[in-house]
Amino acid sequence: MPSKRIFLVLSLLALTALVMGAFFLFDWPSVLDSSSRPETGWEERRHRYAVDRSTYTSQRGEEERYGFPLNINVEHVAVQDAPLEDGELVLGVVINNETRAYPVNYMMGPANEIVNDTLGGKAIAPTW
Amino acid sequence: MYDTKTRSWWNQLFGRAISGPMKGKKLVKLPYTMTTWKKWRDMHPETTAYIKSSVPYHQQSDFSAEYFASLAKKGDGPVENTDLVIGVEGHVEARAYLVRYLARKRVINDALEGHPIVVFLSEDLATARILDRSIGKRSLTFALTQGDLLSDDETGSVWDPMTGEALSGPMKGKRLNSYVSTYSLWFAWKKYRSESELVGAP
Repeated sequence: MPSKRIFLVLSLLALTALVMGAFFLFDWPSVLDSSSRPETGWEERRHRYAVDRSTYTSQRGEEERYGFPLNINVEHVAVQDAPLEDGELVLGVVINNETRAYPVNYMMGPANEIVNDTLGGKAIAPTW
Repeated sequence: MYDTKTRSWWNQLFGRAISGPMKGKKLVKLPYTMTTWKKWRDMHPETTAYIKSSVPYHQQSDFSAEYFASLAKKGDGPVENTDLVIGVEGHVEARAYLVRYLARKRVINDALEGHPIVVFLSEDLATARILDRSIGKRSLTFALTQGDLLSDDETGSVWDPMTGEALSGPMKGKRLNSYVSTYSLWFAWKKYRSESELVGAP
């Protein structure tokens, strides 16, 4: 009798592990490559993200409720003051005779991927 | 992406709002040039640079032209989700070019929605350009001449694809219009433009 109960408990544990394993294995790839899902899935994922990041942003203001700190009031420097290497990749933009390079290396990581900026009198958002 | 004014959610790749009050609205994509800092400086000595001093230099990734070129040099295997592509959108049609294919060809004379275009990838494989290859009613066919310069079969003029301008020959001073192209991984592009043709798929 005890051996039967142990077997039952073990198989329950195994089942739980299997289900959880399946969640971790299959859920995230489907979020990353969700070509098979309808577009409305975004709504659901948005909430997941909002929940996932709430601990990160709980100390921050209303504006940051849904994500990472806003990348606003950004810094620019003149060409001779830019701490960049020759071979670094940049996204170059010209608007109304104003010219700016956005180095890709400063746009890595979720808090840096969107730059809210103004160039040539136009509000732009270079993203990576 | 989300915006703090309306709390709408936007697709980063295509600039279209997918939910919230702005749903269905589309941001205008602006032309840009991806290239090395040195080349950009040479083209625009007056440029300013965006920096983020809160990101310490040692924490930055090393996203150099060499690294990017190594992505473009992947072999001939089947198309993978993480393959780098260059996408272009017409009024209705969308198309993507497999970068590792373009890296071998360097220049592709093509048409989008019946309009002649030329797709170009620079020698360092860092800059992709998609240009309208018609001048007035005449369409031109391009090939590489030397380095990163193109010449057209019809008049033999030499063109700089970075600016779209004819440097010498009968077309000197004329300029080709450029399309806005988008670098993306194939899975991201095809999710929203699933009907998109992938040029260069083996």
